[in-house]
Amino acid sequence: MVFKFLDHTADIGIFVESFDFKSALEESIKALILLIFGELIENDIYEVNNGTVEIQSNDKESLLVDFLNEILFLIDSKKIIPLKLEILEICNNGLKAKYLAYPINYEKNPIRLYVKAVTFHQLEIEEKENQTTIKFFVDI
Amino acid sequence: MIVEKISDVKYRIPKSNFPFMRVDGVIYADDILFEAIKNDKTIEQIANTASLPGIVGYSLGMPDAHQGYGFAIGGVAAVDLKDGVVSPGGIGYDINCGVRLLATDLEFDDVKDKIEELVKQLFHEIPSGTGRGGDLKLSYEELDNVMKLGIDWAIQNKYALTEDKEFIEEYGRIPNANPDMLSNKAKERGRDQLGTLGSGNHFAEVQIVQEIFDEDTAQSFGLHKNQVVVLIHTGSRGLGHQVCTDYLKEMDAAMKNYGIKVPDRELACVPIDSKEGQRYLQAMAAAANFAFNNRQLITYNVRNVFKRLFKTDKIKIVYDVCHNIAKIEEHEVHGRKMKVLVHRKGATRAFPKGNPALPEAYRNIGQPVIIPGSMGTFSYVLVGTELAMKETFGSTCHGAGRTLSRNKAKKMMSANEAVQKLREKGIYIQATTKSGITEEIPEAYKNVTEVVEVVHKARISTKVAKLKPIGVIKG
Repeated sequence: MVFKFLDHTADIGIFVESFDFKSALEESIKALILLIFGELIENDIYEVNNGTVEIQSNDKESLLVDFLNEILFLIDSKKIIPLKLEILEICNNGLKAKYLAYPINYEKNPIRLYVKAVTFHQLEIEEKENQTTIKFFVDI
Repeated sequence: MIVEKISDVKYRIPKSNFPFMRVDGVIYADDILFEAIKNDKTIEQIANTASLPGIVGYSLGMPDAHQGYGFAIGGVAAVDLKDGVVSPGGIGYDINCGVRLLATDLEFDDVKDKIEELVKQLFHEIPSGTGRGGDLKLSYEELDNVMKLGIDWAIQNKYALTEDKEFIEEYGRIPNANPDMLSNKAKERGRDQLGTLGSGNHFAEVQIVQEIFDEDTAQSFGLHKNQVVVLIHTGSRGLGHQVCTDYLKEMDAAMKNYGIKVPDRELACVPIDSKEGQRYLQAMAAAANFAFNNRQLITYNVRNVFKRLFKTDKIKIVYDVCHNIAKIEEHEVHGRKMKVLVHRKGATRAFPKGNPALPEAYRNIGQPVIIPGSMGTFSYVLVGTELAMKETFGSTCHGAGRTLSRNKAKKMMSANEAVQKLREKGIYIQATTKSGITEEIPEAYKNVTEVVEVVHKARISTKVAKLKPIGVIKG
């Protein structure tokens, strides 16, 4: 599994390669968190939040966009980082995931780059046998 | 793609380029800026925007245009109110991102020995909001009032003076705002972000009026040489971002019910008079009113700092303009007056004198147009013109526009070097993060002076004053 950040005049893209769509999505979340916070410094964990995310979307592309936007919402509003995330069920237009999240310690892990939204701009999902690549851009 | 140069400051994208184009595209740029515009997908996006059902006149690009999502940033598209569409992407993820200029009664000599202290105190009083949030955590009921009442909420709560209202586009309150049209998520994201700057290219700057180009207009705007002014650039924060995200999803699904196809999913749109279109416009108005109050809370804090440091309470709003918004306006299209929905995505309204939308104080002068530069560079005050009404649906540019990615900008210099370079120019800066400085270096942007020269030469707004920063606060 690999991911890298892509240059864009106004914003930033993320490219992920993995063995299937589900794991590529999980990897995309890690990349998004890294983009926002940089390398995370170990938190003094006072509490752990368990949660689930359920998404119903229009199709596969929007499933990716909606899922990642849900993660932005958790960071921006719930002020938690869903670090351990596992997709339990997935189909072409829906998924269910569970996560373990930690409250953000802004002293140790300040937001390095505030992401407004994940977009459909130049979004690409390419699935082959044992290899899935995802490319998407975020609005900064 | 065929693009024709039609004057020193205008290029045309004929609709014959693609079958989906309903109107021509027109880009305002000189040769230098056009070279930059050619480098990314801006032209393609302006052509794509010309596919919107109901689009009239031209799909327009301002000289600061650069690649965005679906719409180019620096784009203007007007659609017939009767049979046109509304597209959340034509407003953007930061609904009513805009700028507000405050004029003080101080001159450079009054502040020159206290600039560092001024910047420190402003930085302390204006939260970036990208961490824990702002100082204010509103109840949901109060948040609804912020969105419904617009600036009247701030007046009622003593965050604004009664006279502030007159100097804000739409008098600080876009009608038909309906908070019920926002998701709980949008409200939750925005609840603790009122009065916060945000990050990216948002800033608050202390500036000096360095040069006056139009003495009479400057005087009418309350501006004179050497005067200290403050420029605030921010929008509707997470609340607005979530509104855009939510409605893009809804419209993406709903489009097929109306038989609409667009060349880019970020252009998702529905008829203005559809239930989805009406719900979005009411939500957009609510988010826009939140943004007016966001800039107002920052104004409140700026006033407090100036009062404390300089014992002055004479800080007036010159004007507050939206640059990511859709507005119902009346315009003449090919000789016929019609009501249109003007999408301005990274573009500023630039109405001329005599327009009834302008406050009495400016009705015989024209609307102040405030153009922020990039961090540490000049900003400009312009005035709206009659030609803008004829050619650009009363619109002009909104800023400098990026030319370098954040990554390339970061590689150019370190934060310390950037701070040092600004100091050498007499500019103090305080920022929440180092990347907030390195990613926004002036070298990453088009030259705002060139952008302004083009709109001035094209007469879609004309120069009034040039402002030089002396202090920068960044999220």
